[in-house]
Amino acid sequence: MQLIAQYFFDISIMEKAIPFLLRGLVTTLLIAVLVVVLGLSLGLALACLRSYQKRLPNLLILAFIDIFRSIPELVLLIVAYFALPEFGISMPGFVVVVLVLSLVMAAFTEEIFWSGITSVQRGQWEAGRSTGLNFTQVLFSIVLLQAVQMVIPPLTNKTISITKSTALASVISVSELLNQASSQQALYANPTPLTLAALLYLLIFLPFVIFSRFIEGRYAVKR
Amino acid sequence: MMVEKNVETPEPSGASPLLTITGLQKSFGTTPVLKGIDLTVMRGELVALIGPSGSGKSTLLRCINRLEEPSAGKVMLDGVEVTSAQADINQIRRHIGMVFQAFNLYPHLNAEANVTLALRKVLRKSRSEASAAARAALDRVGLKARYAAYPGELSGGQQQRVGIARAMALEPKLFLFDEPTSALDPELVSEVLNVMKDMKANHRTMVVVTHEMAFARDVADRVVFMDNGLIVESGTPDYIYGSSRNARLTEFLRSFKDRSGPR
Repeated sequence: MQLIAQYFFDISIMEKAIPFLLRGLVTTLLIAVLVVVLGLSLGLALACLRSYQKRLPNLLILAFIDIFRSIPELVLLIVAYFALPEFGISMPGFVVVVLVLSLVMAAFTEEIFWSGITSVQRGQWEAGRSTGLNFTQVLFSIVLLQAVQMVIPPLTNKTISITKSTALASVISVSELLNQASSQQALYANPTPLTLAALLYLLIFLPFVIFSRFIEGRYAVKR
Repeated sequence: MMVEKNVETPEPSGASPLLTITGLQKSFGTTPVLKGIDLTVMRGELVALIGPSGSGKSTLLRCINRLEEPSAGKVMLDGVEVTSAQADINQIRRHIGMVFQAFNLYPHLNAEANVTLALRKVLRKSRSEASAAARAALDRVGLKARYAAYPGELSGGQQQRVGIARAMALEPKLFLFDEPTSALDPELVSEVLNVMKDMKANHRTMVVVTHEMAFARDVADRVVFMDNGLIVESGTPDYIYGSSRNARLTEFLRSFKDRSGPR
């Protein structure tokens, strides 16, 4: 019992490590917010573009989402950070992680938004078109809102999972929460900072997870 | 960008044709559904389209505003060729109101917003103008107190009346009704039919696909019987329900009597 306290809950180490971890937490949150906002926006934009059913854009969208959904995020990060500089494209770790995770988020959410758009009944399109609205007007005034409403549960799910992927940034030396915790752990040769990091993740993401449950209930499709 | 002369509601004027359909054909893949339809609808006329399911009634209706693209033939509405490749289909559709079997109301918008949407986006009316026109249309279909109700809060009959108001508010030249009462509970059918009778009394031009034989007999100016992608018989209700000796029509009407009893 004492050993557990000493290795995982050493108060004096906690006190010394916490300023670093909080700094890391800010970076984690910043990455998470940017990735969610950019990823959702791009995913929605691609799904809208796809609904026009033009051959070339659709082919490009499908290629993009299939590639980014197939390759593990960690592999993408490492390739972007360590291999792209060989081709003269060198970006700071923070930019790489935001970019890569946003693209992955966009690829997954495009497919989610798209499934929402296709599950809106055909009669909605027909009713809109019969009153003289054009395709774009029907898409944005009638279909999109219903589509988004239908896919809120998978969207919140993906949002939660991508925010947790921010921890992958530690492997390309972005000083986010896990990265800070690892260096503190190395410094004190004690895993207490990791415990603290886990607690901080819980503290930040648990309310978010609970909040997303509230969103799902609030905007559930009324039938 | 409105063309001013097209905006006004047509005055009912005797016997000038509003809708002319010639040689209309439609195939789904290799299956022919419409095999050459010729039909003229006069201003202020109510034409009832009857016939067994699968006879092509709904497809004919949906070809008139090109929700289905006809495979061949021509549709003219008030001198404008609807089927022309150069036609501005959105401008034409605004003159053709459509009422659907499944209502197809927008579930995320209340009754008034269901009606104002096209008024604002297609007719470019201001918020207050659109609202006034929508409320007037909802009043005419007897929904004065339900402007703010969402479709999910309305009965089927009320929903369909919002559907009619949505079409009516655009003041179209022609109304298409695709089995407007088929999805309704029997006790709600009459409230919708009454609105349609009221429209007929106001000289609206209407093409109605229906299985309500009593409505067709009592209200229609002309009844058109379709079978197997063709117009088989056409005439006044008295002729169709009384004196026609067409074998397929008599058989169809007999099956109806068997199903729903004497009317």
